[in-house]
Amino acid sequence: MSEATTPLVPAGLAGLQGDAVTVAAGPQGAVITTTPERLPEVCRRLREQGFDYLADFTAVSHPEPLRVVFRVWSTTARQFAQVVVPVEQAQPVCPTITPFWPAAAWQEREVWDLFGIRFAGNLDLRRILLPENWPGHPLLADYQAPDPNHLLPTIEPDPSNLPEGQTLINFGPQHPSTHGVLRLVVTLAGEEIMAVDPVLGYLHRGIEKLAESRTYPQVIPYTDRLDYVSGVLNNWPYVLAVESLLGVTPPRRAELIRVILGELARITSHLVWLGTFANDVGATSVFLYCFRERERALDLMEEVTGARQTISFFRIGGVPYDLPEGFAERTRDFTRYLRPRLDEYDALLTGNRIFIARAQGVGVLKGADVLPWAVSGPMARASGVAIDLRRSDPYSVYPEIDFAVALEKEGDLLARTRVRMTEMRESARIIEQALEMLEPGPVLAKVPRQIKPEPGAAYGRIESARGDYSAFVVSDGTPKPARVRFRSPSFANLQVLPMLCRGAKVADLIAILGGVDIILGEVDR
Amino acid sequence: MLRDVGTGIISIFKGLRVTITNWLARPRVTQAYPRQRREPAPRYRGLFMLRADPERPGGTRCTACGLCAQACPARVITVEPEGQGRERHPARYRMDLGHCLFCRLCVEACPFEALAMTTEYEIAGYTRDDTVWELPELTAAGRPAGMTQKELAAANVAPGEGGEQ
Amino acid sequence: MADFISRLLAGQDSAVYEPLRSWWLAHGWPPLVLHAAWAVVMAAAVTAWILLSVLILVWLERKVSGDIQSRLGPARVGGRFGLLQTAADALKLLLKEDLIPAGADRWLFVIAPVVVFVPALLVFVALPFARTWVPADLDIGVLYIIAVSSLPALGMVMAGWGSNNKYSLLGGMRAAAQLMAYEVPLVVAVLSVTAMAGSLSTISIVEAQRQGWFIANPALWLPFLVFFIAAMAEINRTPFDLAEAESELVAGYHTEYSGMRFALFFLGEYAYLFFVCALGTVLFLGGWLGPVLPPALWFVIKTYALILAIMWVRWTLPRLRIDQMLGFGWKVLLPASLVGLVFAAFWAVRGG
Repeated sequence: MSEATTPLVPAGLAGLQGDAVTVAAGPQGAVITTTPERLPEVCRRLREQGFDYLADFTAVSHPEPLRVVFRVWSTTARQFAQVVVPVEQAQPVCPTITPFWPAAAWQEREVWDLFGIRFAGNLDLRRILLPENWPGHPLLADYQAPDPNHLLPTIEPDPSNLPEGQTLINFGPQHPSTHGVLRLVVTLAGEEIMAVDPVLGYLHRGIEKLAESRTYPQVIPYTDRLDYVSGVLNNWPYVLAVESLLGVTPPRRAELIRVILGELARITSHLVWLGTFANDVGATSVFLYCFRERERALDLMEEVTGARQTISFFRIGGVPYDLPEGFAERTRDFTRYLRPRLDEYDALLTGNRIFIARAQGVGVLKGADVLPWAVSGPMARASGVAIDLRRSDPYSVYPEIDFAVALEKEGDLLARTRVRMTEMRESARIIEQALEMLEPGPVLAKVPRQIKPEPGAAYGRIESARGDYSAFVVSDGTPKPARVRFRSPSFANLQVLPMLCRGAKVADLIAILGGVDIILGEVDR
Repeated sequence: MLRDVGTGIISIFKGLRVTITNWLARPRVTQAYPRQRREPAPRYRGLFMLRADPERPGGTRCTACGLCAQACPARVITVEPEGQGRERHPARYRMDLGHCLFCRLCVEACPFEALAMTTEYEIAGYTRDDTVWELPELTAAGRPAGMTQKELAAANVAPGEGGEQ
Repeated sequence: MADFISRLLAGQDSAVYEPLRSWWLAHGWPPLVLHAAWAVVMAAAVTAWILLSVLILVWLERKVSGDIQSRLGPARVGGRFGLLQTAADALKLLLKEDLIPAGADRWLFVIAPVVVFVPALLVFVALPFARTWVPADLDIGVLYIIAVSSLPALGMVMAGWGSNNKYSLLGGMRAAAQLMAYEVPLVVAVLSVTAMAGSLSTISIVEAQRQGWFIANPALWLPFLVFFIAAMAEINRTPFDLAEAESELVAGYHTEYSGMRFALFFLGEYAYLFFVCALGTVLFLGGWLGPVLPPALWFVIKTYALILAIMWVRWTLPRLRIDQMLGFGWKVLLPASLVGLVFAAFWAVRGG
């Protein structure tokens, strides 16, 4: 959500207005409504106008009509455009937008899986979160869940039509190194990886569908279960979206508390990543050190919120209670304690000859591939693309805080490690500045007892530890949301894994997967 | 090439220095549970508690208004009211903690300072029935008092700072 | 009795065997029977020592790794220091189901752990804990040790093949390639020491260090470094543990093993750890030589110093990929070991 988007329609888009296409100004950017037939033309024009990044792609089934909704972003002009494509209820079809934004490939698979909308021209339209033989499309309004006792037969990949000399290896879903329940079907020719096909959905819990039968405040604890190592960073996009719908602004002190807790969450998330990545390449002690540091950060979160990992501390309109006595001092102790420890990790990892041998030149993501594939977060910044939503699409009080955007250009694992280490240092700086900026004041804005926004839709978007994390909330005037969509950075970043692994040795597969930094909770939702 | 080998060897020694420092000079941070138990922060979201009020029927401050059950995302709480007006109290108050998210929305919803969350975290059981807590268990004497919504709101930074609404 | 004990500890002469032999022959009994019985006693002593060491080493490894990682390590079983933890784990492994995978080559599968573990016992035939505390004073002690210590590679390949699992096979082949690559620098480093000592007998090598341990000799610093690194690679420890690391895609040659068979592999690894450190003590640290304390105790102290150093390295460094590991072994360590041999030989010929 950005203050910078103007309410007017950008000049280049106004020309799209015509029969079957309407262009309107929305509070979060232009809204273009079109038919499936005119969609490719609209997409081409958007691409020409510099909308190079696919920010979110989903569908909404109620209130009627069934429609594909996606949002694109111009990284240069910092503007959004939302495209709404109503499709017919029975046998819905829509042309694919992958020629314009390749990142849409998996997103279209998800919409096919959950809504049943076919994307003509998508070369790989399989289900992604549910098994291939699942009956029905769950996010449709009239969906009937099947009998939970009826087990579906398992489908195995068929190795018989592989070329000579290639074998199929199944990696996961139970494996110590997949960082969750992820299954990779790997095609090998000797030691070299020919193809990787991730099979998702082992942790799919239907959170988006669940959210439709909860009231707005009741959805917040479920958001914690998405990116479960990032604490409050999960609550943030959702409350931003609902606050947009209500037209509520949190008080300044609440924003600062959100920033402090959010950056603490970012530090803990990166510590988990660093520890598990080091463990994957054999440096077990670093894993324990990272968790030791993380315990102190979790103690701080526990003091404030009462929980350590699934925090659900943000509320619509701010935070529910203030910081406890002495919190500022203890947090400063923590940031002071953390810095020399990060230097130790440099001695053990990023400066270590063996680690450099394992990480340099491995899993390279070229800078030119970042935006078309909607890669965000440290993965993008490690490849030289300097997009950090705290600066590029600012929210909360980040514009007032001085911090550097971590940037490296090699795009390999070493660059990603350096970016995340730098981000931890910068997060410590941000926390210290935010603590200085704290002043007495309320921490929760006045919101109605029962949250019932006017019908409408809004996005809330933040820079989470993994990248561009946004929530899209559609309200229909009832106390329960009509649609809640979570665009998770891990899902989008994981899409480039096959590209990163092609041609790599099988021994590097684990390291490359670790370097992408996925959390299955937000991949599968 | 030789310089590369040299810096490589030095980098390995730098790493060795970090680990030996941790080995010899840093304290152990793990605790031998259950000999040593951890004391959670006062606001910790542990087991629930219904505050006692001997003057009221039912013995607790709870009036069985059901706002906690409404607020809960996971349908954990079941309340059966009894009595009218000021005598209204829960005949049955059941919390199915196997489904509980420990999000504290119920405590925030309670207008009578009846429901609180304590710092007790050792609440595991061996059967599913052990995860269901009924009124007598939730009000048992000798349990810590926990923190209700108003107490959480009051536990702020120095006096003079603002609370919330 | 006190005199007997002190002579026993001093290891100056064979306090036990000589009187026993005299007594036996005095009775006119055949010496062959005595030799056979003594051999059995020696074998039992060595086995008992190894098993005890392994128990202690596993506990030590877990405590050391805990200390390095700011955590406690075993702290419940057997008191506050978890002293009986290894025994409990061994008991657990013994009680597990004896599994042989379907389609596995039964004979190979069963024999492989034995082939890996037994050489660890065999090498102690020629490793002296004190002047006379050695089962056999072989003139070719070093040669024997090197020969026997290359047997486990065979066992690993047998395990990999016999498991009927393509990942195990891959792991077994990698382990064998790794052992081959690091065997040569190890041998060359040992040769450097024999050049300096002028003998292949382990006892002579230690005696040659009476004027000063070999590690104090600059000509042997490079061989020592090579030996240390190659030793870590020979026993499959980080940074060279790709063949068995659980977080790699290929799970290793002992994937299909469980229960006591797995315990043999596991114990074998620790027995080898003790062995290479004992060998390093004999070759570089002056074996049993040292003032005041009983010689055998010096030997154990020095060996444990090397063991702690190896553990320290294990818990610090990340692991190498197989191609990097093999490249390092053949292209860096082998030339370094040859250079070390040349220096050592030069020094030895010059007369020091």
